[in-house]
Amino acid sequence: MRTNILTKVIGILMLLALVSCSLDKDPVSEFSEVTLGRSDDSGDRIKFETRSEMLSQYEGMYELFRGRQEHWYLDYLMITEVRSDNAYAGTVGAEVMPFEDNSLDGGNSVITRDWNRYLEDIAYVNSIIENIDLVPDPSFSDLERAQWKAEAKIFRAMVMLDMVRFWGNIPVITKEAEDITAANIEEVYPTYFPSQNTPQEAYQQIIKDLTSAIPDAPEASQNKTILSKAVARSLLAKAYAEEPVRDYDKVIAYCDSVINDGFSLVDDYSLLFRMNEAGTDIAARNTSESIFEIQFFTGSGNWVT
Amino acid sequence: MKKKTKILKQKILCSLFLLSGFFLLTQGSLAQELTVSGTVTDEQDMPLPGASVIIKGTTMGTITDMNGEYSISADPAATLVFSFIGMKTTEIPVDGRTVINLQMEEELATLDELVVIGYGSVKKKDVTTSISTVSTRELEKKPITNVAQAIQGRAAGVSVIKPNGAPDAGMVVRVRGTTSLNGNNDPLYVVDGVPMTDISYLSANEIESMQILKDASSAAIYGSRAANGVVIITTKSGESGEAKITFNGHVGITDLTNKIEPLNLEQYRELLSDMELNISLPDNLTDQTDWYEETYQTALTQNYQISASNGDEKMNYYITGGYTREEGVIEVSFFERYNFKANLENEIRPWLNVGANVSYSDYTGNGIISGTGANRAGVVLSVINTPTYAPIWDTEKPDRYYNNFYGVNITHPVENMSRSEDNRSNTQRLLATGQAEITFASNLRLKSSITLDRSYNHSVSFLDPVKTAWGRSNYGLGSDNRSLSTVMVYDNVLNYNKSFDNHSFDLMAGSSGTTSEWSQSYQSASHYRDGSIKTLNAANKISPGNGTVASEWAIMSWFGRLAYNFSDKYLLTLNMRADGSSKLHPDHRWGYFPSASAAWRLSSEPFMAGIDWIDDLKIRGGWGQTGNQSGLGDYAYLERYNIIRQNWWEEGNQNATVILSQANLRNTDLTWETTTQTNVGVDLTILRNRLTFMMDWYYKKTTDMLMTVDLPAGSAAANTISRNEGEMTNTGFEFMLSSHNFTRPNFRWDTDFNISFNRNELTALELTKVYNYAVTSEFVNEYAVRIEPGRPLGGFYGYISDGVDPETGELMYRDVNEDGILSTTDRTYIGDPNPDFTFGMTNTITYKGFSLNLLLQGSYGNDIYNASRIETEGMYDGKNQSKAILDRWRIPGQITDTPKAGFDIKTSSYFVEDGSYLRVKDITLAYEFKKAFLSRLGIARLQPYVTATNLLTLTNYSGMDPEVNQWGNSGAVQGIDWGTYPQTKSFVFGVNVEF
Repeated sequence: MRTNILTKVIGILMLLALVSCSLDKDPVSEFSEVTLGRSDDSGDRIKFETRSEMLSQYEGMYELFRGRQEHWYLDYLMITEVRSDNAYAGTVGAEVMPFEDNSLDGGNSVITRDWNRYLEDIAYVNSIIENIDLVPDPSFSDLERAQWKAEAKIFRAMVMLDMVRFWGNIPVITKEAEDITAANIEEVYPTYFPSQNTPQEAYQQIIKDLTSAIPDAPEASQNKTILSKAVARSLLAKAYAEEPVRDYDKVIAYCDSVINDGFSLVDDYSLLFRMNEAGTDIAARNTSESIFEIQFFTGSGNWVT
Repeated sequence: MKKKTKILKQKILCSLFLLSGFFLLTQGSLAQELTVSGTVTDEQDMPLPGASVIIKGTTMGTITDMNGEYSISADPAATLVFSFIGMKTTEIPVDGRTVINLQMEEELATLDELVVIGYGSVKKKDVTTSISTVSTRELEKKPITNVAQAIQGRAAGVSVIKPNGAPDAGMVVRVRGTTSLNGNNDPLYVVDGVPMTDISYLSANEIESMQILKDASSAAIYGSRAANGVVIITTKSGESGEAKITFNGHVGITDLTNKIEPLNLEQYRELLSDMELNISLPDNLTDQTDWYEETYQTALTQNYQISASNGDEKMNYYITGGYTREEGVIEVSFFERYNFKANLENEIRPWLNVGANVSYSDYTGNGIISGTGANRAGVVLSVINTPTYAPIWDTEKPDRYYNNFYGVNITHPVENMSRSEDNRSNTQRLLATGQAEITFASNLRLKSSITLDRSYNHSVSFLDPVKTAWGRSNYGLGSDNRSLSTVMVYDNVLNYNKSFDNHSFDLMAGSSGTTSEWSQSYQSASHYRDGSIKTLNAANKISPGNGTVASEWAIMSWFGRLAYNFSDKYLLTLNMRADGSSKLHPDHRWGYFPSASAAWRLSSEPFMAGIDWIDDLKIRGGWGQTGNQSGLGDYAYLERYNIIRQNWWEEGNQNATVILSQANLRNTDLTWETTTQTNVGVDLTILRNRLTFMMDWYYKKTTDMLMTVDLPAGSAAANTISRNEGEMTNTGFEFMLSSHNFTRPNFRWDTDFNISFNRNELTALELTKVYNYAVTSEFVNEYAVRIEPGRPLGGFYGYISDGVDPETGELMYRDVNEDGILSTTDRTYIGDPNPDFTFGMTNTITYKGFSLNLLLQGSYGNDIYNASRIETEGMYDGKNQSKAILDRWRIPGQITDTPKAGFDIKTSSYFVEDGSYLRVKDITLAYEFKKAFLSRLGIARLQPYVTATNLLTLTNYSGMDPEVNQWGNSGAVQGIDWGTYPQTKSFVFGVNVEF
């Protein structure tokens, strides 16, 4: 009996030791810092490790135009056209009526949404601009890095141009904030809760982004879905037409350079707004008149298609 | 037979069996003795098997058999001592008689009852912590589909709300308030030792006992998941010497508790003309449809459970199976469950006891579209919003629902119900536990168990491509989602106890490991040919969003407990626990949670010895910490990415792969949320156990509160982070009184009363300081709830309405900041959904075979934001309205509380109402047939009963029912009525039979 108990005790102790299960679980169906990026020799984090990881961010930037059409397209139309009385509000709901009867205040859900989404878009491209030169992938050429970065800057300027015209004072954010930890919370707090800048400062950043992007941005081509040099120039023309930085000479100069990039008006104006004969798709894409296109195809389930 | 705690009873029975064998052997040697025989019965005249009959002053005796009969040889001058757990020990002199029958009286003493405290049990009088025991006696007679309903109104400090009346509605259970803002606030359920969060698989009939561990010191032993309290449920098991088959069945009907009348056609026309809308109804319309009639039904509810159990001194088993179906008062909704369970225990060696619990349950439910307006197919609101002139079917296209409301954007309730009529959510759950208990010595035992908790959910939906407008615009929709969850629990617990002189020690140490694997497949498709084939293969267009996902988590814990008892006077319990969770950052993964509690039994002190009327007086105190991480996502600390699919069918995308977009910020500090709780309590039992009082005061402080923080957009690639972000406190007082008013054998009257006060306050948030929740009506489109430090959770936020302006008929809103204009800055707190107190009172009266059980339950001082009224009394478009608006302002000078048609609607105090209520929660009348009558039929027990639930509710609330929350189990949002599935009342008739 004594040995019997002894063996039992040993058995039990082994059992107790065995039940200690592993607490290291990595995501099974999600990409995360486990699968993306790595730490460098000094322990600092490299967010994106390969060209392919950065490519997914770059493609994601263009997807922002299409996947989030509320602020880029629907709200933009409503805020501009309904307030200018070119159109009526389409419903009696509280989110839309204030644009019609000019009773807009800070509680409106449409402008709250747009504010957040524009800023989210800026943060997305800031991550590209900030990290693209840090990608330790030798196959990722400097030329390509510079081009993607230029496109991201044009994107950022485009968002800020919409924002500053809607709101006036906006936070101008060009850096990606650091991780929040217990140790640095005091320090990073202001970067997560940034104060607003003046329109003047916002326009200066827009001009800086666009002018610095032009040398590396892709040339205008038949593919109008790329943020090209011509897009940057036309945005500059728009920016310089605005009051805080108004300079009509520059407006004219940039407009001329856009024309010189090879754009011309189409002969048939209705071509721009028509469906094709069968009614299955729009009549034309990438016309000579268009500078930048966000293209939607049927079948995606998007509201716009 | 009255159920008492089984564990002790079995032990006693076992030892009695062993003893009786010895007695039988020795009996032959005794001479000149009488053979005394007789029957022992309980108060209901039921035979009492297993009662012991001992000759006083000796160790000789026997126990009663299955029929309560005994036979013993005794000296004619001897005295027999009859005893049985839970009954008064009775001494009867033989006086030369050969037949002695006894009807035993129930003993009121509950101080020796065992209370399950987690990995063990103690006598009630030795409890040092705050534990509520929920009476399970009446459970089988109630039409309860979710076991948590059994707690409602029956335990102090525990708030139970059924947030809506849907048959498959989950219950909202809060033990001592809400501890976490957007983490999990549900208590941990421990069923037969297995921790879990969902108990909808469980049938109320299977339950033997239910205890709620409320304070940190008691809950600590389940520390890692116990911050919100622990509900310990023990299911039935077989009993020695009692082979029995029991059947419980009930059938009943459920109905709406309340109705809100819509306008008739004439009143509706008048409203439209008042509103000056561009809606002109044809003249030939008539009142033709009563939408209540078409939407609501008197529904059938049924429940049948059968069980068989038996046991001897070494082995016992319990097998049960059953079927429950509850139809909803709204036709398409229902809940249906098949349950099966087997418990088996066997002592295969003197030192080894093995057991198995296997439980399998298959349940299916369906709901309705609720929490939205009639413009988005909300069923409940469309019943009022649909004008009575409309028919159900389109007269020209008879396969479609009628849809012409002359420009008003609504669909009628029958169409809205039809939207979800083919949806089903089915869950199959298997819980299997194997356990072994090794007794090294009588005071040293090891219990090991392994549990598999596997649940498979299969949810399908189908929307007909023709009948409904939404179906037509999508050409029919179908979806099929399947998930499989496997949780394994490995427990090892070592128990040691030692007593000498006046000292008694109980030591417990153990480990517990839990691993979880979960996977899901989600598929949807559209473009169905017609409604005849509903599976996805019949859909032409497969959604690009289909996929499969999976995740894992694990928790590892080590724990120990030391209980010390000095002469039943001074009691001390110390707990220590270490928990590690895979969901937390590897550097901060382990949390250490100590707790301690002590009690002083004054009634055992010599100076109290003279005070007869006090049976027990005990002062308890405890302090402890518990951890929580249950609200977190499985990989919350990691920076994760959303996957966005590219449209591969587009030009240039033929070989595209997915795009990644950062979903959240990483948190290298993420650690346990800790709740520190202090508890002080008094237990008092007086007048020979007639009256029992329990009082508890507690202070709970949650620190490192886990939540998903929303940061301003723009600063980093994502703007949410899971953080230990805030602090919250709950302070409360709870009081419980249990009284045996009458205790005569033929007439008993027991009253139990409990009342709970809880004050909640969010005391700190570190980053974002304000959170808004609960947008209801799209027409108003404002948040109704605001959360910020310094306030209790769930405060309603909006404008103050100062009544109707008699001149203009407009609702007047207060310019709170007195800046001359009304704007969003004039919003303030306009209501608090947290009750001042909640209470429950149970009365049980037994007269001969009859018993009456009545539960009153209620809540006082809580507000409800009745957002449904925006839709039914808002008069903002051409929707039909409730009769409440007949009082609306119409001419200048009119004094009324109801503003004019087309008034300026805001989220305001106009829609905030007092939600206090007192409810006759349930009444049960049962009759227990006499045993003598039944035995001829071969039946051991027959008890028919009728139960009525939600029979009567006293409230000033104007909505359908004051027990409501469209946000269900939310920690942040409470008390919002927004097109919510209304509560129901029910009447059931049932019977308990035992063979």
